[in-house]
Amino acid sequence: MTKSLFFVISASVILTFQEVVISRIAFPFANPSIFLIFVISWAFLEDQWLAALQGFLAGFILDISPLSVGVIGHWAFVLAAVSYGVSELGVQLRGSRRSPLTLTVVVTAGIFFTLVFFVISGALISLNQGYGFTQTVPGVVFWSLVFTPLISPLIIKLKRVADGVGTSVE
Amino acid sequence: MITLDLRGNLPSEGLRKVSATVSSPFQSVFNSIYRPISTFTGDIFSLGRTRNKISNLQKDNAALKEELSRKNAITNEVKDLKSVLDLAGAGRYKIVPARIIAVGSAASFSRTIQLDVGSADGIKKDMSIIAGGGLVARILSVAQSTSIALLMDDETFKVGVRLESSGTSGVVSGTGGSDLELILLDSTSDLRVGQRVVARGSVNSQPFLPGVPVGVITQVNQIAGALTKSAVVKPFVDLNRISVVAVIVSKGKTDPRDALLPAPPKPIPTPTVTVFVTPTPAPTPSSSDATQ
Repeated sequence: MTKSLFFVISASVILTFQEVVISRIAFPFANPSIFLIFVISWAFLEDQWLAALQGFLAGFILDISPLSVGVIGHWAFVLAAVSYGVSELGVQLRGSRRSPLTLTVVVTAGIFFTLVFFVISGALISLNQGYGFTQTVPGVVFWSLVFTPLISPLIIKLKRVADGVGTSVE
Repeated sequence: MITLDLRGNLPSEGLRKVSATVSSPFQSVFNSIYRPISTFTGDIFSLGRTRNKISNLQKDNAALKEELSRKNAITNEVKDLKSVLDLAGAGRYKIVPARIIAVGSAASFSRTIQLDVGSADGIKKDMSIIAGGGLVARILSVAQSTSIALLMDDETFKVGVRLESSGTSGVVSGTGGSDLELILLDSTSDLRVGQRVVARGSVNSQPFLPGVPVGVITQVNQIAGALTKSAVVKPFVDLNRISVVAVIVSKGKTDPRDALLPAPPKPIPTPTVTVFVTPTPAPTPSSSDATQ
C-alpha cells in the first residue's frame, strides 16, 4: 500500500515535469515520454500483480490529467495490461533485471507495445486518436532509447527506496 | 662633510650621479633575480584574496549570464505579445493574453496545451486562440484559473476556411505533424502553391472567427478523378515555439476579410546584366589581302 502510494506520488511528479518541461521542448520527430519510461521501468522491476495495479493507477493519473482528451479509463486499461506483461518478463529475467541494457531494450519495446495497444484499443472503442501514429511512435521509441539509460539509475534508486519504505512499514 | 655640504663646497650631486651609475647595473641584476621571488611571495600571501576575487567574479558572471538570458526571454515574450496585440488590434478583437504553462505528451496522440487563464478571466469553451501570425488553437475546457486548448495540428482539429481573394471554401484539418491538410469542397476551383488561407468563421463566430489567418499552401495534391481537391498548408504560426498567445473573447463588428493576412513576400528582384557589344568592323577581303 505504502509502496503504491510512493509510486503514485512519484508518477504524478514525473507527469507534471513531463507536461511543464519536456513536452515544451521542440524535440525532433516527437517528444520523449519520461512518464511512460518511468511506468514501464517500474513495472519491469515489480512483481506482476502489484505492477498491474500500479500500471492501472499510473494510467488513471494520465487519464484524469487536464491535458488528456481521450476517454477516462483508456490509459488505465492499457498501462495495467502492459505493466503486467512487462513485469512477467521481468520475473523471467530476474537475474539481469537491473542491467541498464536489458532495462533499455525492455522499456523501449514496452513503450512501442503500449502505443500500439493504445491506438488499437482506441480504434476499437471508436476514438479519433492515433492518426499520427507513423510520426509519433518512431519518435517516442527513439527518444526512449536515448533517455532510458540516462534516467534508469534514478528509477532503480527510487524503486529501492520504495521497496525499503514498503518493507519497513509492512 | 656635513659642514662642507651645507656650505655647498662638496660636489654631492656629482658624487650621487657617479654612485648611481656604478650601482645601477648591480641593482638591475638583483632586481631581475628578486622579481620572480617577489611575485611568488606576493602570490602566496594574496592567494586567498585572489581565489575569493575569482570566485566572486565567477558568481557575478553567472548572475549576469542568467540576467541576460532572462532579458532575452522577456524580449521574446514582449515581441510575441506585441505581434498578438497588432493582429487583435487590426481585427478589432477583444482579447485576453495568456501564457502556455503545460503541453500534452506526444505519446497520448493529442496536441493539447494548458493556458494560465480561465473562467475568472472571461474564458469560455470554444473560443479561438491566436498568436502573432494567426490561428493557433481553440478552447476545449475551462477551469477557474486555467484552460485547456486543442492545437491546430491535432488530428481531430478542423476549421472551415476560404482561400484569399477567391473566396473558395474548404476545410483545414490537423495531421499530427507540422503541416495541415486542406480539402477544397469544389474540385473545379483553382488551387496554387503560395495561396493563403483564412478562417471562414463559424455560426455565431464560435469556435472560429472569420478572417483569422490560418496558413499558406505549400503543396497541391493532384489526384486525377477525385471529387475534392487537397493541398498541404503550412500554418503561419510555428506551433512548437509559441509561449504567449491570446484568447479572443469578443469579435469586431465587421468581418476583416483578408486584412489580417501578413504582407505577401516581396518578389526578390533578379539582377540583370546588360552587356553592350560594340561590333568591330568586319575586315574586308581587300584589306585582309593588303595585310597578307
